[in-house]
Amino acid sequence: MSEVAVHLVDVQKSFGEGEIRTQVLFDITQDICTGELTLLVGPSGCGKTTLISIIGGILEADCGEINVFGSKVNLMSDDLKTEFRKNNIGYIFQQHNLIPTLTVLENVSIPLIIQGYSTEEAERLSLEMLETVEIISHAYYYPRDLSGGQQQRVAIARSLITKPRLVICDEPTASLDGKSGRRIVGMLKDIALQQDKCVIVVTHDTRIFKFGDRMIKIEDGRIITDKPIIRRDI
Amino acid sequence: MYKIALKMLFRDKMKFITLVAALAFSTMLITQQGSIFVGLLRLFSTPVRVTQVPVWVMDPATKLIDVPSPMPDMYITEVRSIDDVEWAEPFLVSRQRVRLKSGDMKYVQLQGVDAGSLVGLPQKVVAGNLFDINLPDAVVIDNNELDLLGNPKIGDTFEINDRRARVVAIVKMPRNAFSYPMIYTTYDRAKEYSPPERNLLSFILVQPNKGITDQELCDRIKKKTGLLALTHKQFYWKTISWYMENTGIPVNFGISVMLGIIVGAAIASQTFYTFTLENLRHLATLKAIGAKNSTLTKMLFVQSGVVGMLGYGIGLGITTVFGSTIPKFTVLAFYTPYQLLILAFLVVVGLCIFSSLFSIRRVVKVEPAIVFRG
Repeated sequence: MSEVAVHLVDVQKSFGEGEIRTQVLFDITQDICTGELTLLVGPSGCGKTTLISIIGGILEADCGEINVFGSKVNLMSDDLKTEFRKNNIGYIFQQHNLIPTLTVLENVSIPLIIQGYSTEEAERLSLEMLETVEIISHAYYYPRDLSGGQQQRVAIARSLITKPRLVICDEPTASLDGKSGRRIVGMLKDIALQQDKCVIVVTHDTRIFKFGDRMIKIEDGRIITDKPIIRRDI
Repeated sequence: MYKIALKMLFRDKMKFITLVAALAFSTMLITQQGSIFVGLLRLFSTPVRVTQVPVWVMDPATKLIDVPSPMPDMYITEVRSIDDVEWAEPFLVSRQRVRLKSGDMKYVQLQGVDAGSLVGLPQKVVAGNLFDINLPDAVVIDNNELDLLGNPKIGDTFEINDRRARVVAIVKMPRNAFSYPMIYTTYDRAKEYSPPERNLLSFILVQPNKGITDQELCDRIKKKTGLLALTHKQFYWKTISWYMENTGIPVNFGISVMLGIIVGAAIASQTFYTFTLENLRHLATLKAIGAKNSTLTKMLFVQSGVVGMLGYGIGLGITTVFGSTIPKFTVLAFYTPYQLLILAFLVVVGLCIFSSLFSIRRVVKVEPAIVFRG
């Protein structure tokens, strides 16, 4: 049975001050449930990335309540937020953001090392995860030696290695061909939704809509629609 | 996370090498120029260092050993009469001209010591016999500037102010700052070699009795005679201080050392900051996935600390190689006191902290949300 993972009430966000102040989110009130892969769609500049940054606790909202798995993120101190992110949230970025001077294995191990695992234990668990995302043969390669799809699989491994309850993805398939993109999202869905978790994906990529359970459309900083995806509609 | 920090540092080879090279250069410049500076100052004090006596008594107008203000001989007796003076011997220092057999004229530093005690005469004999100094016309010469005297051997003669001088011994002593030979003879003969003046006594070298400190005796001599009495250490530093205050040496070397610090600081901080800026997105990623500011700060300190220690070690190594090889081929003054190593270490630590602070400030301020920007 799904439960509310993310509960947003009247969230607002603006950038800049005075005459150049631009409000990008207006009174966002929304629930996002566990067990679902939620797609966040909308035109460029509509506030999607800002919204997931706020949900993920890496950007402050101007006002409103942000409740993630029962914890009020908006009331947390910076250190508490960092701790919360460490234990509950995994990120997958459009640019992968792998550290180029570290091997694939070392990149994937980082979240575990941050959590306090020894390097040896972190690397052992990372090898298991790399096997799951089918890239163990490249464990000792550097990111520059991998294709875009392979790098994204490493990024997925890194985001899931700590078994986060909430996975936030920003355009995970933007730089991939159709086949790689579908494979990545399929993999993400299989892994992330195993244990009653929540996945939020910001995307423009219509090819992956069929993997979503729910689609939230945003325009001009406001949620326009929120409806479950019925497979036959796509 | 420290291992991760070090891997990030070591594997960015160009930046890593530039950082280490900057700090090594800075360390090398500080220690090398500093060592030459200290070495040079030690050369100025060579005559004081080789004359190992506890107390020096001199005219209050005397600034340094090379240019003494002469005193009347009666002061020798007066100082000897002071309580707790075990012995007090005359010491004459003057600059004289020497005519070599070839006819060449050279300036020498003539030093006259007491004929009985030989106090003030260097004791390491290279050739001849020190006690022959009491023979007629006998002089003892130092081994550093023999070529200026035409490489004399034992028994060879030359003239000092038209008076015959015969070499009876050659002594080994450290170099002095000026390229003129040191010639020792007895006090009375040194007076004969010197142009006639009413007073010729330069210093009185004094040994205190046991049970009284050098400083206490100095105070007593000063009170009783009105002369300036200094301990060996005080005279050593007075000589060095004079050159520090009255020559451009400290400024010239200070500029080199400052240049080393500034260049090192500029290159190290700029490179380290660039290194951090280029890694900013990755550091923000680490922040987003749960690394605290304190963890990232420690990572940066570890990186700069390792770079600093490597740079310091390499810089010191270069200085050591320089200091142990170059003086073999030239007359370079080179002396590295431990205080200089500590100073260089503190400068490198300062540079590392200075370089890190800019980067840390940037990292602490960075919003992890930048990881979502394209």
